[in-house]
Amino acid sequence: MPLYECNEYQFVENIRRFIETQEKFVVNRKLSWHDDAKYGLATLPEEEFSRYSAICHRKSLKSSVICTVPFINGFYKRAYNEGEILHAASNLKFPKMSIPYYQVEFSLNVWGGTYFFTFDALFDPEITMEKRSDRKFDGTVLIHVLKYTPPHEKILNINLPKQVVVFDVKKMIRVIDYSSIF
Amino acid sequence: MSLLVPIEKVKDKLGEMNFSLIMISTIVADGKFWKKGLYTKGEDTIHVSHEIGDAYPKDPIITICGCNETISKVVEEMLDIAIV
Repeated sequence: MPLYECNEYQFVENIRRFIETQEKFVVNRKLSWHDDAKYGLATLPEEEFSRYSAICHRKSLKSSVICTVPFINGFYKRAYNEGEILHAASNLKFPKMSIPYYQVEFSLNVWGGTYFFTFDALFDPEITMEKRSDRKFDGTVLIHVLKYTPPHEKILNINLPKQVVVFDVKKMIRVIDYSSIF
Repeated sequence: MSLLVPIEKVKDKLGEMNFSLIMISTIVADGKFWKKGLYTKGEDTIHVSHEIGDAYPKDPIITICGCNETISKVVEEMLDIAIV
């Protein structure tokens, strides 16, 4: 079964064309949470990296990211000390602190082919000052805490015509059509 | 639609049309980072995405048409020079 990858514009435009054929159809949406070190601080664009500027520093894109203050990553319940490297320029593929994200996949099965559009939505960082205790620090301290909030479902949608039914699915299992072999 | 105008102009125009910015998120699609904003007015919704940078890894993309030996050799050599 062939798979055809589309960008958002192509995907929505293809659906618009398909609606004109008066065919009934369903679009599947798969939403999955990932934290597989795909995204790290060193490779974020400047605009996104600036959201972390209260706790870390880098010289430029793809430079090593170093803690400027001690902080706790509330998402992983892990403490970092000042001077610790969060993402090394020499090891860009494997950041020490990765950014969680949702992978969103919209797909449409039609005439034996699957057309899909995928994107990743990064969790939103928020840095606050809180009183916390951790074995890395002596007693209770007032410390920066990095928290992540998942993006709202509304922002994970794409604008599809109202005639389209969107089904949420956990996994798409490719079916092998053995009948075509014999 | 794609527009060759600054994002600020788009925001202003949507404001004039009484669309409100509800939320912004950072997404990665087509090898780029985007800021995606959701604007609403009643039941109507508009998504506006503007590019903020390249996702890593990016170009160059290599495609090979060759025998297995060539493909293996090219992949091996490229991985050697890539920053890991």
